[in-house]
Amino acid sequence: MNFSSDHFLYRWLPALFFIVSATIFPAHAQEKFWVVLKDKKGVAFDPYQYFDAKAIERRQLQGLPLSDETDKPLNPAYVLKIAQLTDSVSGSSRWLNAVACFATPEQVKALRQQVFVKEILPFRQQAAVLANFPVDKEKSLSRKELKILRNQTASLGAADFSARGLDGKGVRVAVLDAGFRGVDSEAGFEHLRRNKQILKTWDFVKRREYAYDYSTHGTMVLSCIGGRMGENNVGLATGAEFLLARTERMHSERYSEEEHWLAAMEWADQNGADIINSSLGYTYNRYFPEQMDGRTSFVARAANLAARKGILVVNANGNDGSNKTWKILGTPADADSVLAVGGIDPEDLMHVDFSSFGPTATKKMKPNVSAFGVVIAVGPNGSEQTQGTSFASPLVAGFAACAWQSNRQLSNMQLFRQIEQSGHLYPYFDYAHGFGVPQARRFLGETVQEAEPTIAFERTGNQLTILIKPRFLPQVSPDSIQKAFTGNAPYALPVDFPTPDYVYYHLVNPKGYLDKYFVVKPGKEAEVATLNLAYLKPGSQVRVYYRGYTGTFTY
Amino acid sequence: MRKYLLFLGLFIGSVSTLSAQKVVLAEDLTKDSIPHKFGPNRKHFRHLYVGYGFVAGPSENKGSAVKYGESHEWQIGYRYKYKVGNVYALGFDVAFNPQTFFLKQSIEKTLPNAATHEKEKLKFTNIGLGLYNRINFGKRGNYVGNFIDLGVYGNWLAFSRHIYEDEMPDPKLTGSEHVVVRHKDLTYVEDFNYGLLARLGFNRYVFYGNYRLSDLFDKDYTVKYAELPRVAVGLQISLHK
Repeated sequence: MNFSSDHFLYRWLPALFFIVSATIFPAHAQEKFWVVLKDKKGVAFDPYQYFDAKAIERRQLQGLPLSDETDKPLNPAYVLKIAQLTDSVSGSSRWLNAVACFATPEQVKALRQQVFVKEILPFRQQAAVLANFPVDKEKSLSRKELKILRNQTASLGAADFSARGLDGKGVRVAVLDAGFRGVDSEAGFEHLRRNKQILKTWDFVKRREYAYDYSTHGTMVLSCIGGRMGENNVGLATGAEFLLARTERMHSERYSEEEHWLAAMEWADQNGADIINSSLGYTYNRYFPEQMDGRTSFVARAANLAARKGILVVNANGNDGSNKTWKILGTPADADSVLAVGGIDPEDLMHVDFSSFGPTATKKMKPNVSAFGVVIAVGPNGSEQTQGTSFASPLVAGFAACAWQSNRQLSNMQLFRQIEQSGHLYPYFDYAHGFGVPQARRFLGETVQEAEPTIAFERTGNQLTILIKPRFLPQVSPDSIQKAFTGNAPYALPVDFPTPDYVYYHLVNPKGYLDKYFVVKPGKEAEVATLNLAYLKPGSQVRVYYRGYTGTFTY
Repeated sequence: MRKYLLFLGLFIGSVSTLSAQKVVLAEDLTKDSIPHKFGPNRKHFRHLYVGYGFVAGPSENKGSAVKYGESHEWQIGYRYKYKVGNVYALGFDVAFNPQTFFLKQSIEKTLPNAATHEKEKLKFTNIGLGLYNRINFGKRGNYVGNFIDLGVYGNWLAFSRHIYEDEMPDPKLTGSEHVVVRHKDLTYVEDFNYGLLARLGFNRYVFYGNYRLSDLFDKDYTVKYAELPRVAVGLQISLHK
């Protein structure tokens, strides 16, 4: 073999470049695209034939039309034409009026020339499921684990829902996940099987009914909505009905396709889901932080469409909180109408480090609320301690099912707002906790009283000092200061679950966005912080939460 | 407690938390909202990398034959990338690159002499600069993604060694079983070498191949040595997410 410089330059290098190029850029490389269509002209649709009775009921209850243009199937002539122009059509979305297909650049060019094609978008693929791996597996729970198990629902007001017999009965929850191995056999779901509460399953990856395979992530997520472990409920909605959709691959292939997720959303709608819980999250693989605006991604648009159809979409906020190159939420948690759930530490109810921060790129507050990010869930070996906002999200989905059961007259977005307002920090919020942990009492008609101020502002020239009132200093028992709320800020909601006496405060700029926020553990002195007002623009606000009271200073 | 105060003072400027407080969480959005110019798929990106590869391709003749699989190189480097567009970027890398050529011991051997030994190797420690063009493929976010790099490199040969090892004929007499001889600062090697580089990257995992265009050995030296293999192939791991 001649491997001299000249010979290499003129013979081998071009050959090598050709081989590498051919491998990477095949002449007719096929990529996957969404072909978005312009219209659904001439397509007939009968909602009574297509929808489950529960889906019709949901629309009627919320005063929504029985169907709209997005519910209609795609124009078959358009789909046929696309199939003729491309090599393979793999799926479609009624909601987005789009066809998923594989196409070469030449075929894409031909598709663009079709009058019925609105736009062609490349597929987004990514590692989707927002769970960290299980940190522990045990068949019998330690004291610490038992405490987490009890508190993951107690922190949401499980006792209050339970006292009113609210367990999500009559509410239908769709769970979109990576697989539900063990749901058909584990003791933690025996009540769901016995009462036939799992109405339908579908594996969108394998295109078959059996979904109890491939991953236990969905198993653990489902348990956090309605599972049981002995005498303890793992989630709040043990009486809800469930639709289980496998949409993600988790171990064999880490990349999921949004096509399955979209199809599952439509399937959930068709089958009468009131709530959809999803742990999907697209982040840096395919997007930039500035694209987390609730409009750019296809999945965010679909999630908003689901909300328009009266479904409450609950989504994990993301697990990138400690990832310095991303840090913020993923999509579709960025969608306005998605109830994004952040994770808190069971020890002190503070933001757990992996939970993604908000806000969205358009400065909308996210997460909306928080729940335990470290949980005990039902897994294939009984109980498992695991972590991730994947599990905070179903805790809130279960909460939402019970809350909705308490008042079926609420629309999905009214429920959304009331869940936010039930947050233990409300009306205070920040981009780590949202409005805090939702509290069941908010939905149980409890009388709300004016809260007694626990803090005060003291201004001296350009200095503003935040002070804790003496009788509310940390060493004073909180029992004497429990209060309730009036519906107008400032107010406080009695919280059954003991919360740490931390002071939360933030600086709001005149546009209404947070510039800075803090949580501090106060000492024995009354002074919490001193602010130099010279740094603030007129119209800025300083808002402080302490022991159930939220006070505001406007500059 | 003072450290929290100091941290907070530096962090926010406008707010100071008093000494008895413990800061549990502090976030400054004004800094987060500054548009980022640095990042895996931003205007500028830089990272460290490590690599390991093998000598490949033929020697000029049997006089400079090497043992494949044993002859290898290490790389520890710093890489900078300037994004021109979503598809095209260019950049440079600076690397510390020790190479070891294990010489095949045969009667045809001539490098650096005909003597055969139990083990014999030539070690060259390069400090190099590479310039490359990068073509990315596939849609991606703030992520390095998949790419090919094509470029050139130049090395300054900082250290050179000729090392060989032999068994001692009479260990009892000499007091040792082996003898290792090191010749440093070899006079028959060039101070500089250069060549072409190609890389195929899958985010942090990068397969590379280098082809040396220049000769390693001084043409004006009294002996005209046959060139060692010109190709090295291996894997680099970029130290980024």
